[in-house]
Amino acid sequence: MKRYFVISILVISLFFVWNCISFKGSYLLPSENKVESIHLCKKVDDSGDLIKPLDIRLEFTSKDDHVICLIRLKDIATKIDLRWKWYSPDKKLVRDTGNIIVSRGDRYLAAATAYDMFQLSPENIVEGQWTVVIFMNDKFIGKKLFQVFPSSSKLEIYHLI
Amino acid sequence: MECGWRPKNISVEISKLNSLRNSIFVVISLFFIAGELNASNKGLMNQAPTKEDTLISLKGEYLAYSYDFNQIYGENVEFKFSSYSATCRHIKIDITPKIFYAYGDVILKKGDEKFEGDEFLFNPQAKKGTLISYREKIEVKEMENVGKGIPSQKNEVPKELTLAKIQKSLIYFVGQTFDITADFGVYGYNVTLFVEGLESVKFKKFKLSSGIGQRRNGISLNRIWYTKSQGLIGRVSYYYEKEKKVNSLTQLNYEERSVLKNYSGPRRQADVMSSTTVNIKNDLNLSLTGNYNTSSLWNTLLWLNKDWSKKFITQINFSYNKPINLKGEAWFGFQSILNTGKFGNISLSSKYELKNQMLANFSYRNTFLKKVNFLLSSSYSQIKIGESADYSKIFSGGVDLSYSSRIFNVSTDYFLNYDLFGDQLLSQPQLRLGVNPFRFYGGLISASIYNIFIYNNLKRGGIEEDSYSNNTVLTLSTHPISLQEGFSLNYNISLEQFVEKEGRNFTSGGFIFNLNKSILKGFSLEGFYSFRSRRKTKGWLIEGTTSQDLSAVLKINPTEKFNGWISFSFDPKNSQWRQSFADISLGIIRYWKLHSLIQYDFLLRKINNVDLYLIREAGRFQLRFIWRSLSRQFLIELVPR
Repeated sequence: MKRYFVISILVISLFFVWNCISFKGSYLLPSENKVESIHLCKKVDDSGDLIKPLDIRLEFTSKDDHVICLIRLKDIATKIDLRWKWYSPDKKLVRDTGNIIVSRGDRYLAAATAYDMFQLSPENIVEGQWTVVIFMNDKFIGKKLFQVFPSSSKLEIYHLI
Repeated sequence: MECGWRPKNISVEISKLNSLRNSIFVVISLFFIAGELNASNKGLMNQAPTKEDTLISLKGEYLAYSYDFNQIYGENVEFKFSSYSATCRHIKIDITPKIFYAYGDVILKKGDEKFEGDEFLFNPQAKKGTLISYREKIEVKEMENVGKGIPSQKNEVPKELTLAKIQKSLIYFVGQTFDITADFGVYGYNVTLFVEGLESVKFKKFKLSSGIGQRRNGISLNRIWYTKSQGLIGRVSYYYEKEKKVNSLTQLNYEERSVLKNYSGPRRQADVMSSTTVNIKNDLNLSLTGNYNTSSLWNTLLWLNKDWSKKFITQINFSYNKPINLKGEAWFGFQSILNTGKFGNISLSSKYELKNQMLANFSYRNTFLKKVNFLLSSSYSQIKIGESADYSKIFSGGVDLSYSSRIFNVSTDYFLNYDLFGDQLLSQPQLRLGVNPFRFYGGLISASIYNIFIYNNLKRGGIEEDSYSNNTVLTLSTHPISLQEGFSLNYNISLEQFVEKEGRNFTSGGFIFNLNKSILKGFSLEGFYSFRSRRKTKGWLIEGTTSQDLSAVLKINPTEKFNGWISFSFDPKNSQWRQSFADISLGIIRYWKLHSLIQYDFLLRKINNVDLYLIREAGRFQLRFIWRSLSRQFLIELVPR
């Protein structure tokens, strides 16, 4: 009885889908997605083949020396340039790395990591929301927003936690 | 015909199946049927949305839609935004929160007008958007309704939407043309279905998601079904809506049981339920609800709501209720709520029935000096006693005054219940006094004391009785005391003394010890020991009971994919192990995990129950294969989340 029930359901299913199903077709592949992750962190671990982010965060204080923006790419077979642009809370460009060659495209890389370090030196510290934007081959591929707090208020936050 | 499908709790029970393969076929078949019903929402087969229905049409080199997460990712995409033609390198759309985000070489064109940017956050429904360019400055351009677009820099970017995530979905579709309709349904053309990452069949047109449910005016046949217990079931509804004016829904449920064998109840049954609301003005609306059942049960309620202001609302209503085998009752009612701000809230309601029954309630609530709460309430009821000519008449009232400070809280109640029919008056004043938990020994120990005193006075036919009781509770507890690294202890002691006029006094006390020991990384052991004694004293007689309990829990959490706990309980009085429970979860591959619940009985020396779950987390729903040893059942469940 159960077998007939299963067969009936399959037959009904096929009846419904008869007009709209086919079993052949070209296989579409994403062509341009190379970005696996973008992280903001305080430190990196560069002991292995690939650099790993340590102490990932989106909030920094004016006591922090620097902010690191690390990107992980995958399936790289072509020439790749990366460029980081850092913007202050008043939306002004404060650092532009220019194009940095990550891969010359002469060999296939299953994964690659690269980072840029932005110095939070006292003279350019502006509290508020900062933006870092990454371009690959002059095309926008991602951005990260982060907050810079005055060191005293950040300490209060830690104390509450 | 309304047949739209969205994840409902679907459970298929398959007992004695020859193999798991058959059950998997059933699930896949059900999914296809559900999907096809989805496709047939507006017709019979795969009818595409009309131009008017389409909110946005996407054409790209690669488009992927995750059914699990209701999200779209696309590359080299063209779409229309308002009167602009737009192109971008990437697009991410999170349908549920309605977030649309295009980025990488975004170009918007209208005639000779052309705008370029790096990011474009937009709302196709409101036809508003923000184009952002990263040059010497962050340049922000509001498209259409200038200044009213989605604000930039506000994390409107879909946070957790990546192609990798979509490709890990249980069900996702890949194609080059997707349409999103005004109700946020998604259609795909020449789409390929991927099940657990494996390419399967291709559909010429397919409704990928049914969108937000929207009723349409007219009659709908909601359901025709047959079950062995209920027979033939039909459900029809009629819906009418005139925007902001009228909203009406009538449903008919019909069950034909004459088709059932050996059925002794009524051969058929019908239920009609109707609800209509008419908004006469913004602050005035009229509603009518009615229910009718063929077993001669019906009721109706008509009410008129008037909002005089945000602080003053009144309602008048009429209801008629006809229960089975009883006479009907017709009630007229009035209700009013007045919020006078610092002068307090007043609520008044009253109902009158044509056979001289009545109900009335009044309450007044206010807070004085920020910390003193006052509540005055009273009610009167006059209700017929069965079919006799007598009425039960009860008046009750109460006053509650409470004060809470940082150190202590005090509250006093006075409750009065006057049964006019039974000539019985109960008055009950109460006094509650508590000291809020306070810490000493540098915050290591915390203590609290609570006392409640109740006095009862009952006057019945010239006889007066009174009684009183007092209950005092003292608790002491510690914060976890670290004995060594990864080893801590805390305890809780409580003492209670109950005294009453009749002399049924008792004293009870107890303590709980709680030990925590970390064994290995991700493994910890928690032990509890509790002791409680209750002693009853009456004159020279002392009697009582003592209970003890010892239990331990092993907590396992070495990795994100492997976690759970195992508990053991022991009876120290009889030196006997009692029961053990285990709840273990293990991630297998992708989003699949194995979960087990096991119960072992030491007294019977056997495993009482084992529940095994094979679970696939799939965003909006969860697919579960379940084996229950107790009922010997194998279940397949599709559970919406």
